[in-house]
Amino acid sequence: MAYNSSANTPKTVRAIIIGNPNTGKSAIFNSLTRGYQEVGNYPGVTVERKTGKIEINGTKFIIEDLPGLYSLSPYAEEEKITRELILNAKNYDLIINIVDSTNLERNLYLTTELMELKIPLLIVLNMSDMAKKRGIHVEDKQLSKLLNVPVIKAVGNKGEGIDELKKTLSKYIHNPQIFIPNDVNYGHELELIVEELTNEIYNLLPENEKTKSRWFSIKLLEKDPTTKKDIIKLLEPSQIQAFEKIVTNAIKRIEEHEKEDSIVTITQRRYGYVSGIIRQTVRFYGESIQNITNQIDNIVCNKIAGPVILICIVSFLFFAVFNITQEWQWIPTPIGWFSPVELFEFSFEFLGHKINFLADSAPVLHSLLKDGVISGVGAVLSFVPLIFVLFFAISYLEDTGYVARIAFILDRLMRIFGLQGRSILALLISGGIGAGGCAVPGILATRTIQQKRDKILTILIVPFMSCGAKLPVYAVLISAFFKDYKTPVMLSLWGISWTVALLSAFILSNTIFKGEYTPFVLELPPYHLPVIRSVLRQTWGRTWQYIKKAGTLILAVNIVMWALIYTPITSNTLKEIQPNTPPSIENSIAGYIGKKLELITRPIGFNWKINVALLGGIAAKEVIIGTLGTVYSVETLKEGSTSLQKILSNSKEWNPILAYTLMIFVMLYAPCSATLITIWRETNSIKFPLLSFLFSTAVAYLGALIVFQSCNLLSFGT
Amino acid sequence: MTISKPRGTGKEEPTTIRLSELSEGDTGIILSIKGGPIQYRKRLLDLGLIPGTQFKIVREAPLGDPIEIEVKGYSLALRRKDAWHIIVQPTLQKPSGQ
Repeated sequence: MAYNSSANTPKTVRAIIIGNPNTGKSAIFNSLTRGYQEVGNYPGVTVERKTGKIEINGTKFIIEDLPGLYSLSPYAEEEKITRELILNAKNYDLIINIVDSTNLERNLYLTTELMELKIPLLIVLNMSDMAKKRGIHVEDKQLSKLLNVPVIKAVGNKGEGIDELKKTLSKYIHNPQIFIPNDVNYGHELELIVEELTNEIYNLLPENEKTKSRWFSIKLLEKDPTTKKDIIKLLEPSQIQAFEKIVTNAIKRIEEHEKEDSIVTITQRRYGYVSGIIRQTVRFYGESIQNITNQIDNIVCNKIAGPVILICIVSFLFFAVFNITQEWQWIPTPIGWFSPVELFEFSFEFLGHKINFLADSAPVLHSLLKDGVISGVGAVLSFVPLIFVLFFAISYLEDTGYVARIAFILDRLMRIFGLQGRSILALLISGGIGAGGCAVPGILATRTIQQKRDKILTILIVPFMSCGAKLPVYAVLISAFFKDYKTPVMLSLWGISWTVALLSAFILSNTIFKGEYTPFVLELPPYHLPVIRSVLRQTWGRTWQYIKKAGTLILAVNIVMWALIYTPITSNTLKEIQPNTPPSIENSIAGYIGKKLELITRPIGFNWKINVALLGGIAAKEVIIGTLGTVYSVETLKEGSTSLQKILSNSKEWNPILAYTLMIFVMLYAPCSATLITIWRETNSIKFPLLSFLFSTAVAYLGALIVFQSCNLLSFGT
Repeated sequence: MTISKPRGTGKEEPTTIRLSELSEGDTGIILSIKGGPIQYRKRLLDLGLIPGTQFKIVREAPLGDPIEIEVKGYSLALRRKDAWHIIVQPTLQKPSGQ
């Protein structure tokens, strides 16, 4: 164990915050670590790591807020990782267990599991104001006596009880033993079996693991497969057979005695212990006030009103987010009003102009800085307002408890496609409404999906939605070729993106993702109003993490794309990189690749110029129109769109069928680099961005092939 | 309500009723959890769905599935096909409720 009572030198104490989901852990964490907080990831896993530092009476504390969990028998992916972090006692000295005072039975159940770890423990009875309103009175002193650990009443979102918590924490340095909990009592006959098994396990275990003997024994009696594997790893190969026999015998004894599965018996006894504790420490007085959550749900989950409210809330959220970040010009500057995204764009354009003096003296450097670095950094930062506001909106909605209701209401519908209710949020954010969106925050929104299979499926189909960067491509092509059919063409694109997304999910869930079904268990937490300050802090932490992690990679991809387009394939074309003359893309590496690709893209009608634009689109979809403009040598970028439309509609190479095929391809093909990198970050595996890249491109090619060939066949001769 | 004979041999057991067969407003007591992945059974037990626990089906989702049950003072949503694994004993209700 990591705590050092012997050393006199003050050291840093590490504490972890553990509790059920929806117990207000984050509120306690925020009130406790007001000054400093950092959001990151545990090395090698995607579980979010929130760390804060405080100093109490000269002692430094590092506090970590772990994701919520119901018990130490993990169910979802995130819980597995959290459990491992808890079991690795080298990581920390002290557990702060947050207990929801309005839901004591289930919350204290987790507490009993933590007590068995024999690691210093402290209990915070959170939401004690709500408990009071509901007529629940907890005798904290009595509870503390029974469990033998400090118990503190608190109201996290109001900061009540935090001083008391700090005072108690400070005792840890000199009195760590006051935090060592009692054993949970399993009742007379069972205790004999537990103790016997504990002794046997104790003898088998290596020295540094012996303190966990009792905890291990109980988990073994619960037939927990993970614990069994963990112990076998600690044993000598010669001991394994004896170990298996000991465990089987103990389980058999319990099952013969109780005439019941030992998993049930152990769980039942633990709940029995909790009931005993509650009987001795809790008084219920008066009628509890009427259940507001139930009344809200009577409307929100109603058969008719429910779906209507859901559509209203989600579309309000969506339009608010995209208007705040992109449409409404609400930021005053000396030269006028801007929206946040415009402000970023303008700043980078300005920066690009600032380095114009380099254009004559060092054209290559100028181009690298302007088209590679500045536009790269711009690509990263232009996502920041969107990600920040979306993260805020999603965290807020999640904290109110409504996201769980979305999952509840839409589960039946989305299950048809092998998805779940929460997938819909990600799809809408990515552009599912048809008025813009972005796959990057869409993928980040899949964080709320617990089941790994459903999460991956959602991630794979999210890029099929028409994000805001694909819309300009549609706009140019539609006004060049479908001037009189704007609405039906847009509607058909919207319909196709949903059909392809849902159909792919259906096919994937019945083929490569088949047989991984995990039953769906979802708590519908009581509604409550989130504390805006705490949501903001968390949102900023997450946004900053995105800037740091994804930002550097997106920048690198941008520079690589720049190099592809600007590096001439033959040395004598080097002088073509001149100011005011567009670089000859035809002779660049990108042009070369584009021409080679014609071999594959001929059946869908794409020439090398389109191929180069599409290659650029892998860096960022915004690039497509610009690159098309450059290769079709449009004079000035200012009038880019209008003149490009004219050039395309007059060009012999183009016709409406090609234009429609290209729109379908752009909608479906490989996600942009920012999206791919986000997928990599979120799944923590290079496998999934690669799969996404190949899968999307294959689907796009197939779709384009069907459209192009069948249209040409139908219109043969015209 | 479909009632199926238990597969167990020997003793005379009462007919098995599953949670998935009940409808909105029904109440009952959990008897046991049979079948399904072991992690799922363990999870339900950890959430307090142990034998003898009272429950109430609060509502169905708008499309009839999943169902929301109230147990140990909180609400839990389960799909009907997963709730099928939960063996229950319905309690009789006074008709005055509705």
